[in-house]
Amino acid sequence: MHEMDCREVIKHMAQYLDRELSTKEQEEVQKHLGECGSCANAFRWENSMLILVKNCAGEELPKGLTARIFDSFDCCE
Amino acid sequence: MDRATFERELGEILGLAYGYAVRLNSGDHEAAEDLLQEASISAFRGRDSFTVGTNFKAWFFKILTNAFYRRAGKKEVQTVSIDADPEPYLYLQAREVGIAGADDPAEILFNKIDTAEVKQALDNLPSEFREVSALYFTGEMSYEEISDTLNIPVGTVRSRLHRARKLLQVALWDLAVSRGIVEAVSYA
Ligand SMILES: [Zn+2]
Repeated sequence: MHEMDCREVIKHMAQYLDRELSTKEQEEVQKHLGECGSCANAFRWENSMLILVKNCAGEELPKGLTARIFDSFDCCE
Repeated sequence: MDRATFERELGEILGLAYGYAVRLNSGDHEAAEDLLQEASISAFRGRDSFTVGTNFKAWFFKILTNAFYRRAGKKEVQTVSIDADPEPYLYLQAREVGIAGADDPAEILFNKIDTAEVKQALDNLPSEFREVSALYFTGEMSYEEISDTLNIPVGTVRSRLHRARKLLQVALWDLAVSRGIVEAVSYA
């Protein structure tokens, strides 16, 4: 069976972390990560960055905005 | 779809939609609010074009995106995205200064970067990358949903996202260096 090398694993990193790989590819990457410290490190850094950005990217909905938006539907019912 | 059902569906995603609108407008909250208001009315008016049982979020985000470009008075710039070389930029930089083996990169680096600085980095991305990353980071969308929302192929979503990630990593690393975070860690 074909085994992924470091270059291929890094190529699949983004999709792996986004859960966009096929089950088979997902497993191959996982297997490699269990055996390769430097790829595991690379994945840990990438994932850590993604979590940071996801946690920071959102905004809190301003108070009353939902009600204002819903009220505006009165005009065009 | 009756008004009550529409409001329930919309109410569930309004928070995510607001975050998306703020990022699309590069952090301008007032413009985001106006945009969300306008998109909501236009969605409400056109609610019969939504097929019940399909993805309401993708449907609404598409309306929101179109409203944004209408307001901005320009069509989306379709540039050719070159597939970025997949490069674990942050990791490579971290390795350079000898901190790549850290058990928890968040603890030594990411948690020291302010939320506002991360938002800034997102807002500074060129528009074609900003839009895709806004959907990805704030809209909690899969590649498929993003592709659906922006009417671009999944492969384009993937390559733009990869490129956006690289640009973000460069920005975050530069930030960490300029703030002295990296230096403090690597000589600790
Ligand atoms: Zn490896």
